[in-house]
Amino acid sequence: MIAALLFLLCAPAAAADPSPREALARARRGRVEFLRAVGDVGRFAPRLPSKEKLYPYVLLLDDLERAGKRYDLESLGVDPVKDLGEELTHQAAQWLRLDRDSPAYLDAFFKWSTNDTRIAAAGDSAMLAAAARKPKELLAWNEGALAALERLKDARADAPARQAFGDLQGVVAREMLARRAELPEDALAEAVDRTATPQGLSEIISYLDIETASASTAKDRRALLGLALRAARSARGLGPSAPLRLRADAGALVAGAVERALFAGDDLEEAACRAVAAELLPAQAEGLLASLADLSSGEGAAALVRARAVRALADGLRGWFPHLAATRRRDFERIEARLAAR
Amino acid sequence: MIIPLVALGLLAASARAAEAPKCVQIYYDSVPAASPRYRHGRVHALQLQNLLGHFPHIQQFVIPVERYEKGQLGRCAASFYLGTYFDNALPPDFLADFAASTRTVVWAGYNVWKLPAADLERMWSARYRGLSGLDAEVRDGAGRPTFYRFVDYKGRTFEKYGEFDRAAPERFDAAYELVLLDLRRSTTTVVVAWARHGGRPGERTPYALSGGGRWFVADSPFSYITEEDRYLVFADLLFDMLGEAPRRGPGEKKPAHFRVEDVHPGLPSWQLYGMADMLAAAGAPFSVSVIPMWVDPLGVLRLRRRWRLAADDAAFADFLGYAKERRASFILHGLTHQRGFARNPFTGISGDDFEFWDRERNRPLDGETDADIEARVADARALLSAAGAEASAWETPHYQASPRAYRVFARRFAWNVGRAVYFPPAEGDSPPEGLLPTGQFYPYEIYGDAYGQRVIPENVGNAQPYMNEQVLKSVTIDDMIRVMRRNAVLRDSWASFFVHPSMLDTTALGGTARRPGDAGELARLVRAARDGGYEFVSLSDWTEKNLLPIRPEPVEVTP
Repeated sequence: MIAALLFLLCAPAAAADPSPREALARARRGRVEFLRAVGDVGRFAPRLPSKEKLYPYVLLLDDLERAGKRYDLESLGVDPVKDLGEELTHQAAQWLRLDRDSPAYLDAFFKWSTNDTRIAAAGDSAMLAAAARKPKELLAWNEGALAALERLKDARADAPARQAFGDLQGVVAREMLARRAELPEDALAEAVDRTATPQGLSEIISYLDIETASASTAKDRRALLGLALRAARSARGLGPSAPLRLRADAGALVAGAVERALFAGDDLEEAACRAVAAELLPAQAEGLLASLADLSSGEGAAALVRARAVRALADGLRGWFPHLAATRRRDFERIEARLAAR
Repeated sequence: MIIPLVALGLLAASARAAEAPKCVQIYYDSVPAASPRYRHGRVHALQLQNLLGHFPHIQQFVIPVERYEKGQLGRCAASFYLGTYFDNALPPDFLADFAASTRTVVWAGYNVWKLPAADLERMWSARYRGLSGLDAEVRDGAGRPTFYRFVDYKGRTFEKYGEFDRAAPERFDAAYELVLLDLRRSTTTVVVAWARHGGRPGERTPYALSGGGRWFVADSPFSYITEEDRYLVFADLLFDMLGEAPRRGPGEKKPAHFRVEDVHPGLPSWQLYGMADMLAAAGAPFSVSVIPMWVDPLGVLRLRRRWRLAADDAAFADFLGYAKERRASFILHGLTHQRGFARNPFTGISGDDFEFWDRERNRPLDGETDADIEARVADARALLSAAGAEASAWETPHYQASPRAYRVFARRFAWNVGRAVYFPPAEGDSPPEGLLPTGQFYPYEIYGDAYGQRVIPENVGNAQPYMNEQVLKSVTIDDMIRVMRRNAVLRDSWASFFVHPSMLDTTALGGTARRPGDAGELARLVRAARDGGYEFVSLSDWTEKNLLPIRPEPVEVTP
């Protein structure tokens, strides 16, 4: 019995898994030790049971990569840190929180994960973001989604991965718009401004379209027009590769919001009115011009306000689409005549 | 006491003379005026030098025959002339000294017609008849043109290579020419090997003969050498030409060496254990050629893990221990046995590709340095050691490397197992464009090839019952047994071969087994080697007991 106890006491303990620091120290001792250190981490780390235990190894990857640069690993036909990174981030994706994880960790996650892992992570994140209850949480998700898209620009991200995070960003933006009464205006504006994916913008535009149709106060309509202009500007910012449908939807949203505001006699800011033209497709511009001619008549204070807006809109259209002055001369003359007659 | 300087000098000179090693001179055709530069003569000389590495006490002199100096043939115990350039202009002094020499002289190949007819008659009772050619009219059973294909020696028949080229089937690759001598009956000339025509029964011509210390060989025997070739006859005759005794006496068993090839952590363990069990059951020590880092960089096998280290693969390390307990020795077979992320030239997978040679462009790897090669070798050794095994020798992946790499292997390992490829030594580390390396294998161990390597021979080949992009000629177990039996008449010859673990697969999968794991055919190979007078050796024991010094640095006279 005593002998057995002694044996147990003297029995060597199973070698403990190396800490990140230990693994890195070993990796710096030469090529063979580097390979063995990375291989060693690859054996146990993917099975670690919590993010607290696993994340430090994800954060180790950049240091390992730097250490490996000295060893001409390419001539061996291996990229062990990449392999390890893919494995670790695949495991770590289940705990990914774009709204909470540190920027350093998120940098590492997006750098080392595969596109498949990223796509899965985007899907999980979309569910979590949709379930966010507090406006602050939504803002954090928005930050996280936008930052993820930025990170994907640097990573080896393929189109489906970028689309997955675009979808996520759209979900977050829609949720934010749904809670816009609870969110600071500038935060909302920034969220729309920074949305740079067709999916995200499409979600925003669809949502604003519905909201604009049912907006009942001038303040609300003005706010919605402001957001519509921002969304349209973001869509324009996507450049010629953006789907035409998106530009068309954005233009229709803006034109519709302006018409509703004018019809309701809302006092629109001159700058906003001048900005409208840039967000319209040429056909939409012609349609709006025709509407302005109809909306430029009337009497009283409301008409005065509307007239000012109509003039600003017409000036904006003429400035952005110079050819309209000739091709739609009659519309401009009608507007001028009505404004003058008023 | 004060000794005059002159006396000191005399003492030193006399001590040097007393210690002067036996020497051999090799004369070759350098043909300085040839354009483009003629290199094959030097390559043949180099191959002869390599064979002379079996006799490491011999000092080699390598001299372009055009630089012959009168009386030089008297300097060494033996001198060889390799006639490889048709009708090369030979110095008259060389011809005169050859005919008059009292030391052993050997003439192999072309230009023997430059010797006066009277000298031919006096030396060998012979008259020059001409050169034999290729007989396209008379074909053999395989439809090939015929020539003096067979060489009968010591009751065995050796065979010169002659096949249609696989890449250019209209071309017939063979060293089919022989110098034909007509012999008169003589009491002093002995024909030791006869060449026999493959298409004209009964027609033969002397292949090798000797008379009064002068030898004649009907060709330079280093073209198109194979495991069954007349090259082996020449290698055996060196003992007689040099007056050297074989290292292993007549009653002594010849060494056999069974190498389990391309063993790495990516292999199925049942194959590895199957090999070890078969050899243990046969009581045969064996060697395991280990690739200590297995990689599949291009993901060809679609495995989740694309690299494995022998050191950290517990199951693999267990196998090495299991094999060691069954008298296995270990050979380092590269670090990855492939190169980087490229196909070089096959799949990029360890064991398939070249590691120290750019096979795509047939030249040394771009930017290779001694330090890189040293690092690879050191890492390979460290990984094997960490897996619990120590290497008794190195084996160059696919036997092919750059001259620079071979020299590193020579520095880092006492022994290299297998074969090697060679370039004319003066070409440096980057042989000229288009100059293909020449491969050479050895029937016996070599103490210093051109790169300074001690070489354990591999002279029987390997079981390759099927052809593929890497295997240009199938080799069956019966082929290997035939080679071993033939070689049994050769002095100091080994029966050294290798077998891939995949040979334990069924024939349908390219192996030799009737059912997976059946080692019956391989056991038959082991039995046949023993029946042929060979004894399987433990490489670690053998290399330790036979570690002679490397031959002295050859003295080279430049063209």
